[in-house]
Amino acid sequence: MSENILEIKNLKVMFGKSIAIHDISLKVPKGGIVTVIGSNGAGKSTTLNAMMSIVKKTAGTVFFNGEDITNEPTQNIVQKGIALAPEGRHLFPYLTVQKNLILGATQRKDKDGIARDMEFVFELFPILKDRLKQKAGTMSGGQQQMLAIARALMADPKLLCLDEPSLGLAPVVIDDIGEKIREINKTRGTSILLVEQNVHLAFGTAQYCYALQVGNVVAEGTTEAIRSDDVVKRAYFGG
Amino acid sequence: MKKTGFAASIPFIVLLVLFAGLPLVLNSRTWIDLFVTIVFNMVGAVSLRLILLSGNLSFAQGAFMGVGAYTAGMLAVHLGLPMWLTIPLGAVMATIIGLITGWPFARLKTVYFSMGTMFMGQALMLFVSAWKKAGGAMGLSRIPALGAALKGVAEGIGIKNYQAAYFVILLLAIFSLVVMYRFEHCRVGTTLRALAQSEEVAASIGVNPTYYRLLAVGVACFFIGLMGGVQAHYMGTISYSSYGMNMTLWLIMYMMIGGSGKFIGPMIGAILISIVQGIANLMTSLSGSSNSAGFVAFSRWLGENSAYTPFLTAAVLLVVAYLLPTGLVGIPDTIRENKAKRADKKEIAAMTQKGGEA
Repeated sequence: MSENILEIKNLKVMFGKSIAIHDISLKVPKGGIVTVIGSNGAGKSTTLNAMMSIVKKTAGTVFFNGEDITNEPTQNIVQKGIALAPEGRHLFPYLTVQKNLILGATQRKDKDGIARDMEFVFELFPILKDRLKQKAGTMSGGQQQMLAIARALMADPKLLCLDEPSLGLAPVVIDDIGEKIREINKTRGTSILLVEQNVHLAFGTAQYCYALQVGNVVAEGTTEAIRSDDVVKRAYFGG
Repeated sequence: MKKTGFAASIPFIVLLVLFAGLPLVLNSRTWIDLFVTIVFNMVGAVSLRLILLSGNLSFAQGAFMGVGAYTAGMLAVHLGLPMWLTIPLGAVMATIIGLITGWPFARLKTVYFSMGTMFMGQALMLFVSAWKKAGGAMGLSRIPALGAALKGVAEGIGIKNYQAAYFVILLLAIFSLVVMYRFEHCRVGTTLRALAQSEEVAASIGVNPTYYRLLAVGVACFFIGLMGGVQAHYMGTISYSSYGMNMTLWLIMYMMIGGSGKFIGPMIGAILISIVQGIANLMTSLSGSSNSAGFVAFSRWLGENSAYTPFLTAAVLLVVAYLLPTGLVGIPDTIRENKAKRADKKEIAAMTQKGGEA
């Protein structure tokens, strides 16, 4: 067993001849919240998708809990304990909230555990309980994002990956989401890998931060350190 | 699920009573043949919809019924195996071939899956047509009849042989439909629907698309193979041509006209269109005992023009597609929606009037 729940080493991803990720290495400590920030096209989502074997890795290795999962298919990775709430809150819009949640638990057989986690996500997001029979596609953006996170939680992950949960949401809703992420981390001890463009949400939530730029890690450190880092300032705030 | 429990099961109970009761009264061979055809078509159309749940339209269902029929028929004719073995083996064979051929196709999506299965089905039946042991182009005949095997039982109860055969088929069909209904309404069904909506998202939450697609194909092929096997023994003679593209297209037609949104949709479609298809036959046979000259003339006219049935069905399909995009089972919902729309319009009209006065 290692200290880190997730370790990505020298990941490289190419789409045809174009390089999406040049060389990315990152670690998520057990029980920690780590964020990956960067602008459009920096390779944030691709990193997550490659890690989950949703897109093909050109090179590099991924370790989860000290185990090599580089070449595992997605369903095995989910079963081992990584869940992804994908970018743009990809739900099943024509299925009810309840069915979306149940689908999150596809890989699980423990009925009691599923029921317990269902209760947990209702406590976390009470609105979902009211909307149980509603089609997911008819809810507001913020509610859909909550459902996306809740669905990922239904897999009872040890590591929860969130891909831009702030996308298209109002600032007040974003604050709310940030709070919920910390709550999940605190009450369940779930490690969290948060990919974000919204640095306020990222810095407000995470303890450690990686900054990406065109497929490379350009800076890393504790959020306090990164906040004052010149590279990041230049990349983000035009300073 | 808006309706739960008893209310949702009423249509099924009505169908069950009709299909168990009517053949006791309408017991001529022509009527029973029609009932048997309807039952086969119902199971076939439902099995097709099962695959469609995962977002793919299979064009090989007719051929898999043929696989079941030929397996059962050949085992009985060449090896002399008893029916209670040949019929299930037909279903198993259809499943095996369905899974083997489905393996490469499970990776295909939508129209490519349809094209793949279409050629697959054609190829299967061409193979059968060229196989001497399978009777070749002449078809396979002298398959032991289900009715004759049930002679003792039928005489005991006081019904005709073919009637007894019908009830055996009905029992098998009910079994098939119940299993497929359960299959759709458990977690697997939800997963299949999720796959249909977005394979990428489903995969990202840990669903193995190939596994679930194959599962649907396997279950669907099993039951249509079962029907094929029993059909071989009911008819006594089978021909590869009756399991070709035509059969599949009819199954698709039943499903679309009945409506693919609900489990009962393909069943309703199969009942109505099978009656339309079989009406000429039925009328001709009934007119033999009729005294009305008009009736005889009409049924003769129908018989002479039965080749036009596909046109009639196509017309029905066009009307349904235009007026009821969700099929015949969508009628209650459409009425409800229209009522709500009219009520809304009235309310808006009332409000604007009030606004005008103020």
